Amino acid sequence: MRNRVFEVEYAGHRVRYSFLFPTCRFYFRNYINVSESDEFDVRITPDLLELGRPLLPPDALEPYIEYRVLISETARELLKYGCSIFHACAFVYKGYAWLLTGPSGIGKTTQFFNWQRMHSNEIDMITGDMPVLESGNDGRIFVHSTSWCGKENLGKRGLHAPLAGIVLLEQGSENTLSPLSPHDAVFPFFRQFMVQPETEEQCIALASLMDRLLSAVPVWKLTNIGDNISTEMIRETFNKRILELDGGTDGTL
Amino acid sequence: MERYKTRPGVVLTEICGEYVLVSAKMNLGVCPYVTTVNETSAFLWNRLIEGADFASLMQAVREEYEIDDVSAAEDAVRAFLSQMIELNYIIPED
Repeated sequence: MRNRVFEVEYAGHRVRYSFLFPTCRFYFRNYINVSESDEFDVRITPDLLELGRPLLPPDALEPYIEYRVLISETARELLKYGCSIFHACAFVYKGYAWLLTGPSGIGKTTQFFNWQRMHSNEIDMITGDMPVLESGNDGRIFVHSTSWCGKENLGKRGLHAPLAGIVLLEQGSENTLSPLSPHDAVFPFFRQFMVQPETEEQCIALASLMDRLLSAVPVWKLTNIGDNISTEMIRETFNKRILELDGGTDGTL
Repeated sequence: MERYKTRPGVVLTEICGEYVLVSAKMNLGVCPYVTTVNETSAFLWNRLIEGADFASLMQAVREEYEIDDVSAAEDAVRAFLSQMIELNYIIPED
């Protein structure tokens, strides 16, 4: 008898899931297609489910735990295609994708909401939590939406754009924004990729994606207090970057 | 003969000109996930992968960096091994 397999496309690459709990499919919302097949790419084990349980609220439903555990399994699967999942708030501004990254609770979504409040309709959320980063053949990195949108459930299916820059957020007592060298970005960024490789081949694939990411775009570190001024600092920095990318325009609409 | 081996599941990679050791999940809690190393360490790591023993590492480092002073070469190799063993990236062989 053939199994029900659930397919989700990430950056044009199909990942086939066999769920432990069939209702897990509902968390993928309209990202998912159903097919009948003997083959699948990702299925978590009950042991993995148990490892994921302590990371979530005690009343989390088992299908939801499965859905969350699938993030790292999907990120690992995508390494085959030169892609993976990165923990960041990803949005589009003036045709480019931008990432605000940092540990949970650091203020990524706060910055997004500040921006939206001050300059409504200027930015479009790709996903508030877990975008797929894809290395293109032209050296650019593309950012794609996923169903993992964060607790605020912010994101838009199918939205993707070329990446133009990344801000690593840190909380502090004042606002400072400065460039971050690849040397200083390597360690925190490995933690932001939602996968720890299981094989040497996957280590190499992840390092290669990291190399292409840090070669493709500038990274800034923002120490901030989460206020509107810090958000304006990000916006000004992005405008300067757009000026560089678009070669001579003033970076405004 | 003094011999060492690199830990299985640890890979030397290069990211934007930086040498970075990346460790697979099997080594969780055994050695760090990610560590940057300098060029000399990367050079010696690659010699170990090729099967070099201590004497070969000494020879390789003297040739690569044109070191005449044997004790200086030995210090460099010992410092590398000591750091890597401390981090559990390298395992002494009996």
